[in-house]
Amino acid sequence: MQPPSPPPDDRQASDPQTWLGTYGDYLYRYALLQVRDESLAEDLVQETLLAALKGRDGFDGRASERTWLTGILKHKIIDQLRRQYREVPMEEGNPDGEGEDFGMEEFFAADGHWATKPGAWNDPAKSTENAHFWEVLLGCLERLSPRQRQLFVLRELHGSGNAEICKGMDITPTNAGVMLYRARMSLRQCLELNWFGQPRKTEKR
Amino acid sequence: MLNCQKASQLLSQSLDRPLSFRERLSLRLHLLMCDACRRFAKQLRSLRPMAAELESRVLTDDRFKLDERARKRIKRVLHDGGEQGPVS
Repeated sequence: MQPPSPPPDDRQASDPQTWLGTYGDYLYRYALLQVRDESLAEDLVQETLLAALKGRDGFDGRASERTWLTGILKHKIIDQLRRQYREVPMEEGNPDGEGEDFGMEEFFAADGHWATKPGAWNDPAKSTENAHFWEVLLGCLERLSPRQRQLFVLRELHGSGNAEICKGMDITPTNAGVMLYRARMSLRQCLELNWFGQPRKTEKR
Repeated sequence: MLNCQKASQLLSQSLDRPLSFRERLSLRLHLLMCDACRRFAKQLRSLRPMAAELESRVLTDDRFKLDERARKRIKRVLHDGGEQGPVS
């Protein structure tokens, strides 16, 4: 008979040589969602496993091994994004301090009314059962600017807290809010145009 | 008075922070009168569960795999990992 699993404080991470086989693809996909570059994603997996190897004692057995490794990877991703932000502080045409209204002519008229009113979405619940829908959503995500996409993936796909993101990336909540707003606006519109049907026609300016 | 643009901003912000009483009130008033924004609000909120499901689909998608070359390289680095300094 197998002995019961040891209490949490005695638990250790399993043999590091098995990590790559067990979690390699999972970590790779997680990284790929964020960086969209295969060799960068591979590097992140490597760095993550290496850091895990060196920090093995830090694994306290409370979380699953996969959660622990994913946490390390997420830190690496956020670190990398913060470095990028330092080098090129703000998005093209969206310097720090530009408010939420900046560059939104695509969505709103000068008086703040919708340029094109949001259209009716037919049967969203049914759409999500369709495999092709997820390809469209992935495609819409790709079309965001890199920073909007990165932030959106962290916030909504990985479910990171807003405070965690702002602290880790050293950006203000206002700034994060502006980029998330733009990302959500673009994604909603992209889904409408490419999946949920045509928007109501209004005059193009 | 809130316009649609401002209402859309508040709706997005409400996904990231609690709105103030005043913000909630003005948003609610706007939504009462504006069916386009009501529709938008519903669609905007649906993005979050969609995004979460997209993640779990991609994380189990066998089309995305570490290739053999990368796997070998990582294996080697992990094997040498103990002796060498951190990879920058």
